[in-house]
Amino acid sequence: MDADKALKIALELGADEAAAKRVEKDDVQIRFSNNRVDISNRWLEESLAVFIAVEGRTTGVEIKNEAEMKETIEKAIRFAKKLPENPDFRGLYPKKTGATGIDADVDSVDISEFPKMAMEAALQHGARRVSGEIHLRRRDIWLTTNYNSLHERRSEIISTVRVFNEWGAPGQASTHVSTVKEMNRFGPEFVGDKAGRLAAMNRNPQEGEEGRYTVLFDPLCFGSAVTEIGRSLSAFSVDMGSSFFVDMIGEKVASDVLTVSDEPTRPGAGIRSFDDEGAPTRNTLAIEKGVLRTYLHSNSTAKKMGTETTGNAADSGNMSSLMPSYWQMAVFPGKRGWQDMLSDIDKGLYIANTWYTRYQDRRAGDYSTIPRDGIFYVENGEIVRAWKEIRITENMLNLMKNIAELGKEVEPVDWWGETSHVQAPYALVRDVRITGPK
Amino acid sequence: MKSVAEKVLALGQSKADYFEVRAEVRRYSVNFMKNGTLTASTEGEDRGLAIRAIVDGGMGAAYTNKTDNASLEKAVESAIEQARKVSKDSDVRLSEEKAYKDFWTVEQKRKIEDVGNEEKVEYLKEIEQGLTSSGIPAVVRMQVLRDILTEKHILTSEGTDISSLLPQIEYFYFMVVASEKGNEQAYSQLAWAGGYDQWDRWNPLGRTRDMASILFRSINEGKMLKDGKMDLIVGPEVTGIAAHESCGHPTEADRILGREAYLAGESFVKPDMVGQRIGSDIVNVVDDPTVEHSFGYYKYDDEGVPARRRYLYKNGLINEFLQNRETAAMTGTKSNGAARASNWDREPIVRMSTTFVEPGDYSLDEMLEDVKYGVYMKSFTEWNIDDVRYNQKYVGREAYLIENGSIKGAVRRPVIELTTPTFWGAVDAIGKDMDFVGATCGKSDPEQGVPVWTGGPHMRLRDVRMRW
Repeated sequence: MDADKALKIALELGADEAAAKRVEKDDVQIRFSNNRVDISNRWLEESLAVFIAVEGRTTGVEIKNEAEMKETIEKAIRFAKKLPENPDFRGLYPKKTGATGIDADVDSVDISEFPKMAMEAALQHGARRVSGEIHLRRRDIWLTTNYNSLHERRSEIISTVRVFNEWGAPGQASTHVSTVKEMNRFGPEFVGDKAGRLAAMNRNPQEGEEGRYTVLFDPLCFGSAVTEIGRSLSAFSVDMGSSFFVDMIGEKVASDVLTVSDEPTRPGAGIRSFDDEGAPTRNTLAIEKGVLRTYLHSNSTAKKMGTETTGNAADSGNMSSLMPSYWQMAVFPGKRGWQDMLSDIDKGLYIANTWYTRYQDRRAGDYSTIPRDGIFYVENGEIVRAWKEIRITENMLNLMKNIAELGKEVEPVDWWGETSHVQAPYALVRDVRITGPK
Repeated sequence: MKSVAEKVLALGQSKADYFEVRAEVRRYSVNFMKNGTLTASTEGEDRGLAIRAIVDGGMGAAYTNKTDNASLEKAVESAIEQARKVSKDSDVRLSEEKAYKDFWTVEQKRKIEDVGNEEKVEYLKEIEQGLTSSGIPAVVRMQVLRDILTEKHILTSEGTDISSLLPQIEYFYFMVVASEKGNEQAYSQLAWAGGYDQWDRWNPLGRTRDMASILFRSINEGKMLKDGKMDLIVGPEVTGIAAHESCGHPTEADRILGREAYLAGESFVKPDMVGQRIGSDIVNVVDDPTVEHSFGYYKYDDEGVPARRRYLYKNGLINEFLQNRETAAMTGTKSNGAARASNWDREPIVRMSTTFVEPGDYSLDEMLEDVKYGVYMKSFTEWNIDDVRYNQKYVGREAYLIENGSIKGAVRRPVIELTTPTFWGAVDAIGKDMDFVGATCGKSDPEQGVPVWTGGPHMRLRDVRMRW
């Protein structure tokens, strides 16, 4: 199927603007648990979807095959004309976008031995059971709009390992890379080794105690908070009113040490040179030394808020709408190492991962989340025991304001949507509220 | 699509120890309204095939939506090649099950196909107008109306031949009410298997307006009580989420056996814990895909095994695990029909359907009259549970103080944070009422959100630690 042809037909049939996106997908995933492979999956798919704007109305449609293309688009245009106007749509990105190319070269990597490499690295630390996945994602993307015709090949590898020790207590690590160079550093051996080390530390965990603690967050764990920050930076979420950053441009939203940028040009999952309406992507400094500088925009949200797009328009599903979404959140590193930061803690915790983040009040940022994969109680700079069964019950803005220090090393972390393609360092946060069932 | 599935079966069945094809066509429409603006509206069709093969103990799968002969051949070869490649590090078996041939569907009185998109958009506009004209400051109003008609064909090398046509509709809203005293938020998912005849019975306009009033009252009149142990009556919505999270998930055999370990986690329930006490002896928690018109309804699962009711906790004891053919083979038992795949591009894994607490014989008044001081938590907003399904939290959305057997004023954000045995062990009375809500249950990677119902009656829990 041909995106250019779909665009041409849409315009001939009366669309004012259209964006046709074709994706050829060839993904391979190997899943393993209990030191054995469970399944090897492969996806061989092709999709073509067209965003259509006509007379101020918008819709999106999937095209199943070339023969049905004209009829499907014709039907979609008739469908769109019966819709109410969509005042949120302010036009597709109208300028010419030059192809820049991206740093993604893992598409020809053979991952078949990666599970074994990850398992062996974990088992070296005395692990009993290892589970995880190696997932190679390969996409050819063609995007054609009234103003641009673009193509690029995106590829990335996600490596996740979770390890269980003799007490059944886990450790976990998960990374994303788009280049062979990064893979050599953050590939299967890295995650196996790190998860194995965490599990080895997670000896006989006991129920934790409620209170307020200084917490050293692992990059994977801090990445989860950064994921929430990234989602709240979307101008769509701000416009709807569900973001905890509503009406805060120019305000101090975090401590001085926090600088966060969306970096789609940087190697890692989320790398791309153009967004889903054909705008060039760029690195966008969203929070600078704790001050909120900008939201993340599509062309439409930018026009609505009187600014320029940041190149974050994302297909929300069969091109039915183009809502801003971050591509790859990157936190600027600090100056100290993990051990140094740990030594600053008189009484606190080191937490490896969290999951199940839920909001009681999304607009205010009130939430809770559950630590897992290693919760370590620290006294006088030393880990003294492992904990279990606690919860972080906090406010996201308070958490951001209480960041005391960031680590000097940044890890590419990505795990199951909880932490979604983030570059994050260790983070030392003061006065974190810990609750539990005890 | 059935002829395509038959072609694929013919291509692959002689090349694997086990070979399975699942072909699906999904005709859908989605309307998304944000604060009164219809920001997305689409209808269309999604179709494709899942091919699963077992060769020498290795399992491989290929998923494709390309149906020309060359692409189908490539997908078949790919599934077999994937299986062969991992067989040296793998030992997958499936339980032996009878092969069925059947067709099933769900009746629609007002068919999805007969409802035009303009009418669906009008539904959302009417609710939007109802909310904005109510005078309550609902500053966030998000609505999604989705319908889907799924045609599915499951064919296996063992002779299974199941076809189905499943209609589902789903209305989701999220709202935030804000005032000087703060915000309260709510969401709800009204969903069922069937046609649009259900729309009016749901009364979404009335429900959303009521919800806005409840949130407004909670902000302005809701009291924060002193932390402490007290009695708690929970409504069906809270009963349902607890049944789903701390009974349904921990009894999924794949979690118990570790296959989901790196994602949703494992379980505090171990393979040898059947018969162990987990709650008071009046607690019966069930998962049942055959509840008529339920959002998770099916007659056969995605491995072609007949669906049936499963008693997960029976008389307060751990009773049965949810099984697919892979986990059943690992535990030396039979599948109880819990294999589900969220779409044609996903593998069938162990899932819930409709998970609920069986009703007892109390009325709400009878439960209230024995409570001197406590909380009635009718619904919840925030919740979460750890990855072994032991440490859980629910925060009340609509909640009231109970004093001397009577419901008094609104209580704001009461929190219970407790373990699974503490929750189910505290239950001393179960209502004779019954209600269900829709939900989308997440699991696996790539993510598989499957439609479910959660529910049950009111329940009374004694001496529970409450906090604010």
